[in-house]
Amino acid sequence: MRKRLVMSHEAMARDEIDEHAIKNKIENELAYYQVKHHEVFMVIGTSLDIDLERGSLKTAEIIRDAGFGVRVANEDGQSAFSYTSQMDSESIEKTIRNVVLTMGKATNDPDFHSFASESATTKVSRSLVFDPAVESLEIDDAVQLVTSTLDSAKSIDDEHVYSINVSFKAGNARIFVFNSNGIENSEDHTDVDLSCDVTVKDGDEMNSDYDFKDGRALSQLSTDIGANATIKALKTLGKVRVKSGFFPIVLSPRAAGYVIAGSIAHAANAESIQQDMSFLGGKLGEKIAPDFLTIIDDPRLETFSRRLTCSFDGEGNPTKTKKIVNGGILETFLYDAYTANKAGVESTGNAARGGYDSPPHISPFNLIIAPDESGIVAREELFKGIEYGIYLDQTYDSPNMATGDFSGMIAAGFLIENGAITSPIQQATFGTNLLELLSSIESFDDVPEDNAGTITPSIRLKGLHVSGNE
Amino acid sequence: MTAQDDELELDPIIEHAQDLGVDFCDIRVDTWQGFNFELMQSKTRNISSSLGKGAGIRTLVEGAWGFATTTEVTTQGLMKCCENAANLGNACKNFVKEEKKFTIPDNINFATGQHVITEPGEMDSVSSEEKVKYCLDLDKIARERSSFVKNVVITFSEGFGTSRLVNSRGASVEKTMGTLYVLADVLVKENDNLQSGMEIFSHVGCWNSVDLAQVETAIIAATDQGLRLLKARPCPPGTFTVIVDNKLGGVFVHEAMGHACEADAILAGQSILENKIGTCIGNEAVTILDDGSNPELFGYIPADSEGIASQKTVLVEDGYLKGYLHDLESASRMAMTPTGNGRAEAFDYLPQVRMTNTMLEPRDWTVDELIEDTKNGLYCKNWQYGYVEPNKGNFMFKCKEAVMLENGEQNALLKDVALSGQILQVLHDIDGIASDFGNSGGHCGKGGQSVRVSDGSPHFRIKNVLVGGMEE
Repeated sequence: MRKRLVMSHEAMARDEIDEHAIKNKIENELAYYQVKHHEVFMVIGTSLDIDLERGSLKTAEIIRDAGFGVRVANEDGQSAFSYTSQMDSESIEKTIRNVVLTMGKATNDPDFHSFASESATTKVSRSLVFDPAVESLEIDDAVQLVTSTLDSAKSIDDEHVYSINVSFKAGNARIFVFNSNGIENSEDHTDVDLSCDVTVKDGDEMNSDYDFKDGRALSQLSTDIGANATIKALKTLGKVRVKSGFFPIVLSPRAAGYVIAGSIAHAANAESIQQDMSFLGGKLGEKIAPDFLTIIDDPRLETFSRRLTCSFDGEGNPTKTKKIVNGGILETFLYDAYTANKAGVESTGNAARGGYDSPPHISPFNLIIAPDESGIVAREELFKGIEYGIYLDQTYDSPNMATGDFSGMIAAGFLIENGAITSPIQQATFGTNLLELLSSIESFDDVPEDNAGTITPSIRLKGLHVSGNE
Repeated sequence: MTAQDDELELDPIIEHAQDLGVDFCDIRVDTWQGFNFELMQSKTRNISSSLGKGAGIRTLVEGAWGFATTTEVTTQGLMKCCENAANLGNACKNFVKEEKKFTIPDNINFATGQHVITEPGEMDSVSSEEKVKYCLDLDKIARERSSFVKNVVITFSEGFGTSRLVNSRGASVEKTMGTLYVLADVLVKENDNLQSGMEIFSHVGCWNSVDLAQVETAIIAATDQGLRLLKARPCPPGTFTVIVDNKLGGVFVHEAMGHACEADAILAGQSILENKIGTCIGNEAVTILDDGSNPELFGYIPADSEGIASQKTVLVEDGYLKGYLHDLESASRMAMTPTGNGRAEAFDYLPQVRMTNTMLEPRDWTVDELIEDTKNGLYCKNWQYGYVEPNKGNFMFKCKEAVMLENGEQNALLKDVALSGQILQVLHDIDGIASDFGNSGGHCGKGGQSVRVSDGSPHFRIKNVLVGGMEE
């Protein structure tokens, strides 16, 4: 007998969640307390996780989650947040009473004007963000997907392969936002993620790498990531020491996404700017990078993984495509309703939610490094002329956002010798300032890759100070 | 009375799971309340108060875990959740390899008992207004210290809750406790030079039992650190002899050794310490422990999320690797004893092997002797963050500030210093451990879950540390 994975809204969540009835109940309670401003963010979702450890099934989880977070504010700008995962009448009453009481403990804030107020623009097509196949996924099919990925990883036969771990995650959720300005938006989302981690060993030397595919639809996944992960992991064996000095650098797409796109988007957070906590403060309209660098935040992206594509942000404002950096010039910060009100500009629709249990925070959606053609060269040209350099494949470090100073470890990297990637490298660190790093960009290749919603090509830098142990 | 005063009978749910053919089953039920806010530019942001409850049920069927959660904490809701977990376990058992099948051994001692570490009502015994007002006073203390202070960001997080755990083997543990976490980030600016100082205050219990003098000390320390960093210059890159202070030393022990000792990584073939028990992995002065049973420390747990009493576990003794940290599964599969390290962030997460309070034991140097004995090197203090990749064997941590030691003298102040090393080498490179000791609490992330931990260490010295920095 096949066990059907019950993942449809109708079948999940106590069988009787009626978001409109809940909305009415919440609004009645808020009206009772005569709350001037309110905003409710509701999620009704289910997710399935399957983990395969060293070729054997380890865990299967079904997490059902439903609840809402509510923000309220009064005419003095006192505001508060609360949430609940219980949708019965008594819990709703308790939550609203609680948030109204808590509001009285907040300081006044003349900078608060209102929650989101922009009426909805066209929604992204449902098929871009929702895949009905996820809802009807059966557990056997999910197990099949992870075992096929394992088989793919094992198809690269090599005695150095030590362990293979595969995990799969699928989820569906209905997101529902409404507020006292008449905003009412809902959208169904599905998310899928298949990843494979391969550890390789040669004597005492141990190393690993991974590959993954993610997106909105099951059809976006590919079990080939297994073989790719094994190939990538095997390349990391035989590490050599690195010299210290200032060397030419090529950033892999995953490193470029993290080091450049992610850091700039983080530093462009309007809250950090308004709190004087970002090195990009005061630089709006200024040139911060070479002419050929453009960084786009595109929540309406229809290609690549669409990992973060959606129609409205965590406050209900419509999402918008914007260039954070345009031709090297810092063109906009990322705003939510509060920071936009404070700055006297329109929100860029960048309020993100971690879930119903936390208030919104400013964050980018799909980030794209879109270089001008003048900066693009063919893949093989990117390494041309580098006699001794580093291919920086991965770091987990981020800059000091107050200063842009950036030191960290090269968690995965390779030597570039005579214009080609050669040996993997041992322990090495680097140091720079992010603005210096931007100005040292020389060129991009023409093969952009998507890493969890950040799309970048490989990027060649004039150089970085690298500290090695040769 | 406990926080879960509407206590549900959980035995019938366990029996239901057994009727459905599971080998083992446990149920965790959490109820909690939280009070959080941020203070920025002397104004509250996101002040929030919340109440909640939920349950997670885990089943083991021939070595496959099924796990389901619910926020409908009623007999009916739990029965349904139990069926989901059992169905998942049953559906998955055919995909467990023969050699990976396991059961929980009969001789495991599960804990029973009620632990009331914080009394219900303590959290509400101090009003929220008072907590906000106190943080506004902290903001004022920092600003009065210097006109360079431009912003004080305080993150205040207080929680109280009861967690119950029962399992099909007789465990029955109930823990009622509060935790408090205050993070102060002080931004200072002189002309275009923007720096920040950061300190964390953590406490088992609620605000009513806090020693306020310690919180004030923390905000002053954060402010002074920011002010010092205005004068600091970037660190030159290179290989240095490094002395680490208590705070950085604690993070070092956690990142460089603790994570690689977690037995789930060993089982997954993802730790460099596999098959290394009994081998010499460091200097004979190095002894490292994990101890979840000390109620004074932020990582304290009376029992873990699987019903195993917390304990002191020796990881490294006199330079030799002695043991790993275990949860129920790793101990069962490796025929070892569970160490009380199976921890879940909350009811809706599966337990994983996690540290609690991890520490390096003090030895006999004084801090002054260490400094005087180091002709050239770096004296590194306080941490920003750290991480480790146990399957690659390398780790990195970043310190907030460092002092250049030249010819035995403390000279230039440096900022943003990144230190990296290799797990199998670095303990051999420790060549001096002081007799002092300091411990600090925080949160550790792994597999998408965050749990309370603390790290403790004396000052100690490491040779040949690779330091990332900028050429002047």
